[in-house]
Amino acid sequence: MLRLTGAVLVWVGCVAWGLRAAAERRSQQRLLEELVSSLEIMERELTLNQRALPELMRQLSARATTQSAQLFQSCADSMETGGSFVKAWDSSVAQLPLSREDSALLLSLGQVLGRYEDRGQGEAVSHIRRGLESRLALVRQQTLASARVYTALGTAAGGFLALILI
Amino acid sequence: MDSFRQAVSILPERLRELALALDPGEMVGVEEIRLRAGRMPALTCPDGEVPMMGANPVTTQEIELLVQNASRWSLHTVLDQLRQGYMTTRGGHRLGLCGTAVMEGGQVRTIREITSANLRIAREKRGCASKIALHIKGKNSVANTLIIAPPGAGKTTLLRDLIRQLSDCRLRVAVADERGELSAMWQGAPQLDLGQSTDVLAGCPKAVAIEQLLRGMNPQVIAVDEITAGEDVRAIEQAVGCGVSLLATAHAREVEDLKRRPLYRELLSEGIFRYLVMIERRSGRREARVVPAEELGC
Repeated sequence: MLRLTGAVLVWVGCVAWGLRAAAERRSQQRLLEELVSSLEIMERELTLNQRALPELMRQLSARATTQSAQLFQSCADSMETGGSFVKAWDSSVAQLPLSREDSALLLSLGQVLGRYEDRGQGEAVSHIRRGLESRLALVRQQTLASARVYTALGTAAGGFLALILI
Repeated sequence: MDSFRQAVSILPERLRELALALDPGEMVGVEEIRLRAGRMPALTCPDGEVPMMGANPVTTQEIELLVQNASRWSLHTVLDQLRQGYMTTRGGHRLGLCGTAVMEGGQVRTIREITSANLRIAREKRGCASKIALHIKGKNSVANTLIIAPPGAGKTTLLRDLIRQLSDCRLRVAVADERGELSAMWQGAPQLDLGQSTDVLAGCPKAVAIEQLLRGMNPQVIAVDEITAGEDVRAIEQAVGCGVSLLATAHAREVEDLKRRPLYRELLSEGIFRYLVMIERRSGRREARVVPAEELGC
């Protein structure tokens, strides 16, 4: 009985690991999706409304549901307290669970926002958004494939270990 | 002192700490904070410019950070002002800038490599225009008045208090506040008190603003700061022709300075202004003197 319980626990643990790994991939995809849509709003607000950066960051933070909310919020807080936007942007981007390529794209935006005329900033945001969109397309494909693999791997590995234990 | 603290809040940390370490008595007297790359930061006080003691020279990075802070990291929102060499910050303080101008089509597009900054602290001096208000105010009207003084002598402060006093006497005053220095508009709300019955059109060229105010707000008095262009003069003539009283300021040490400039010669020769107010510095104190334009041959 004890062995059976242990085997079931091992199997459940492995399935959970597989599901968690798949969920992580999906949450990374959601984060990228939200960043892309935030950049779309950013581009519009900068070019059409000439929105000031602190207000823009608060606006984006309020509508965000992933870790990007924290990115925009900490930038807004830093600017309101007289801190550097670039430093806040860099350190907040570094904390996001993104690949090196995605982070590099976002980091380059910190050097542009608030420093040039609205049109120039809009063009830069648009360029970076397009870069993230192509990364997102890749991540979507990978997520679809890897989510299945992780789930199947977790289930199979758990079953295999459980069999050995029994 | 609060104005001082508010103004220096946009300075980079090192300079802000230096400024806040000043004696409270000194803070009250500071009119401007001057930063020049590679030079010691300096304060402009009533007696002139004095270097800030114990400070290291200002770096270009610090000036760049100051500009970013002043624009709230949103240069795109202040480019129109930057093209004219200044930007208005929260509280109505004015940051004047010098550097290398980037030209486009014969006009300044922006300023890069900023090497000098002058942070002028806006202060309300309630009651400083009481005597002048008594002089120029009739029963239901105000005599057209031009305030003249050299830059930094307090024309805007005096005009602001004059507007407030006339407005609190139930006169409808409309302010064409192109540079935002009179009202210090910040996110839609004036930071400085311009009175109960004052309407402000900020950020709009004076000539256009006067026309719009005349059309839309039915003012009894129109106030403008620093007449500088021919279009301003024509808009003023139009306003006066509509029976609206006018309050304005101009850079000049004395009337003769004005007469030497074609723009003002034209304005004075038409006899638009009934009174001229001259701000003079006597033994370290500023005094405003009202003189009928006739006495000065205007």
